[in-house]
Amino acid sequence: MKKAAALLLCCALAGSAAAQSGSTEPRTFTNTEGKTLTDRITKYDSETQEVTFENSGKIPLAAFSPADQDFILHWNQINGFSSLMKFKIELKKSSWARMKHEQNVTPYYIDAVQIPGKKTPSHSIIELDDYQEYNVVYLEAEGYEITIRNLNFFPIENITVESKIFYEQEHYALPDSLFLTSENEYFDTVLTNKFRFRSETIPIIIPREDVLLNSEAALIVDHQVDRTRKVTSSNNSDDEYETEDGSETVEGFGDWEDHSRRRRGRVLGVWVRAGIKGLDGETVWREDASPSSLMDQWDSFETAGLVPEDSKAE
Amino acid sequence: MEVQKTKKRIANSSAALLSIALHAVLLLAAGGVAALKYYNKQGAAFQVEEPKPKMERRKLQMPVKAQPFIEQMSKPKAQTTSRITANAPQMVNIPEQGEYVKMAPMPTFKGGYTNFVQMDRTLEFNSKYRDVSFGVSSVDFFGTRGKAEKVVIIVDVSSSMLLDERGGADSFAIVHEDLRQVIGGMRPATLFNVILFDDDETALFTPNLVPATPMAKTNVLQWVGGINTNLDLAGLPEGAANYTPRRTYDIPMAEPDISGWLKGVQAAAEQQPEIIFLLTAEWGNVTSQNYGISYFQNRRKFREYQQKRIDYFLSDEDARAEWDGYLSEYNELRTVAIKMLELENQARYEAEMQPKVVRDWDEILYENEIELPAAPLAADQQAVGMVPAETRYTLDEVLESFFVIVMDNYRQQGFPQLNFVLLQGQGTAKTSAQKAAMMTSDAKFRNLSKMANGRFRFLKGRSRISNQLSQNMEDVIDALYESAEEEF
Repeated sequence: MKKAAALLLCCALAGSAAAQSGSTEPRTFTNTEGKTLTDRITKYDSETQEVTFENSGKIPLAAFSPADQDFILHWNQINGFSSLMKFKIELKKSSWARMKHEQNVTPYYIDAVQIPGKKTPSHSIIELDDYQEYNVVYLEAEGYEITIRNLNFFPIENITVESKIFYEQEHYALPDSLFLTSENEYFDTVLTNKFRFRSETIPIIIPREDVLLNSEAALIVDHQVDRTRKVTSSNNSDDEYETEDGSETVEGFGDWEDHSRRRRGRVLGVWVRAGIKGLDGETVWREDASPSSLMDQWDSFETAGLVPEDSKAE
Repeated sequence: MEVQKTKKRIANSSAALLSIALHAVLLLAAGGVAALKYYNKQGAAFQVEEPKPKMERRKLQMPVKAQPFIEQMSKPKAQTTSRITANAPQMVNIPEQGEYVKMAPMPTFKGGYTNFVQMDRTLEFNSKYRDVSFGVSSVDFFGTRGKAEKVVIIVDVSSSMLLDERGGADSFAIVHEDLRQVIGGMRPATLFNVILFDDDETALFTPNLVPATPMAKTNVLQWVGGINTNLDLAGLPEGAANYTPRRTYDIPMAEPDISGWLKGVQAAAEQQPEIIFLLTAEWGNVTSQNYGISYFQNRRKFREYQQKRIDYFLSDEDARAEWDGYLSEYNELRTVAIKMLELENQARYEAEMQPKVVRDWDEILYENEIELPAAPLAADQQAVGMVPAETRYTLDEVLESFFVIVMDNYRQQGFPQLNFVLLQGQGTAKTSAQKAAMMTSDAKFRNLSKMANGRFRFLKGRSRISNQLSQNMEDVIDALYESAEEEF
């Protein structure tokens, strides 16, 4: 269903491009001898260099005035660019790099004090030797490969390709302090929607050539702190006590197990458009998105709340 | 009629019979030769071949690396090609010196010695018309090795590299020597750069990668050569810092807090070398000598926290008295420490030694076994209004910043090869608990190397420089009185 909708949209866009090309409106052409002809171009054969008109049939390109020759070639460019069959945009998600780090650490509290007249701060460190926390961070750079394919028999020039990669990333609401308070929700996160924009220009794509471009990278972080393990039990338990339900409570810190947390992120998709200069000077655009559902919600992408409803449901 | 006559004449001629007879004789003779050949044919048998003298492989006078060429020949070319586009001029290697173009063609990513993918058609085209691997240099930087056409070396020149525990200026002389060897051994077509950093300041030898021509090598060694030879002028020379970031990064760390090696890596990543070598002494911009911890400080939050902390101590009578007592004791010790440093440097001067380099004045107190008072902790942290954890970046935040800085520049090319070298000090006592908490520089760099699939090595500096004087508090206070009297 989504594909069908995307196809319809592409057809509509192609239609609008065709409209801009001037094929709907007859145009007056002048030949090298100054004679005029009012008709609509239906085709230009780049091999034989002949222009096919709706009513006047085939006429060699060389018969037209230099300005009209330029117009016909420009029309042909837009016609070829607008064709869904002969000018293709393909999107493929790929993972460009990833890093992972995990460790078991002894939780600690560091206070840093700046004494006047001293360059570096002085520190006080308290370690919770009886406890252990598991820390893991995954970092992933994902992006989209944008393949532009020209299946026309003529080159297409000066194509602008713009892409926006959309992703969301959670951040912790509170800093990572053990002794923050037992009242705050330690695991609360704030979700931020992000996008990164990239614009490139392809000077020329020759016939049957594929050009591979890339979107900006979406950099996703998945971080987790697991504080559910107690490694030892020291004799000095002045600062901690066991509650009725058996959970450990550290003075000034609250329930130990309440201080686990996780923040994640994910790539939502990419939106791409390619454009060339139209006959009226305005850019003629071709658009695509992955997943295609992003296409419908393009207007809302510029603002916050870009998460598509169906993506949320996933 | 004439034709028919001729036909009749042929059919009746005896010459035909003679011809048939002659053919029959020829056929018999041919058959006899074949039969004779078959009769004489020997049955299949193993034959022992006499060993031929082995020809010695001829050594080429100019070693040629043929592997990438073979790969190029045997692998079918992918139809999809990346392109140079108008908005990405950084993909093209533009040499800064004119003679480079005449001397050697443009380097390429082809060759299989890095994790780089084919970048663009122009580079591929050039690669066909140049010597294979012409610009690849093999670099061994303090035991971390790599081969690449684009190399950046980042060196810490801050006072942390010159501490007594790390061997002082003598250890830095090792750095000079290694740089001389590494840069001197680079092939002229290798593109390289050297980046020096000193806390917040970063200096690039050239704004972009340059070919390792003899002139460039001489210039860079001259540029680095004068640094940290005289410890009265330790660190990056004034006005040498010339780096400003080329772009902004969406990272957890604030831009002014990117310092030290991280800023050096940022400057390097923006030039997209295939391999980066980094030599440093510390992880973060704050290092505590007595605890061995090192981290990146959030300076804005730190200032805010200190203000709130002081406000808290001044708001309560008891806390204020405690704070004032602590400060007066600290100030007294500061005067002592500065005098100790003065006396120590005087002794070193007399012994024709370089002056002592310290991070802060209190370090000499620890070395003379003088305990510093611990800063009073806020009894009610909630009342302060901030927690100290906010004043420093967590490890995952630093790792995220590092990852974003690198990947924003490299994107689909993936990670470059990273090599970390840490100048190791002697006599820095760290408890196992602190190591377990991953707060030390070496633990952090080790982990980062693993994560980035890079290499990590320790550089053992020269022996620790011992203080010339063993000082005690009473003697120094006496010396202070004496100097005060002299001044009076």
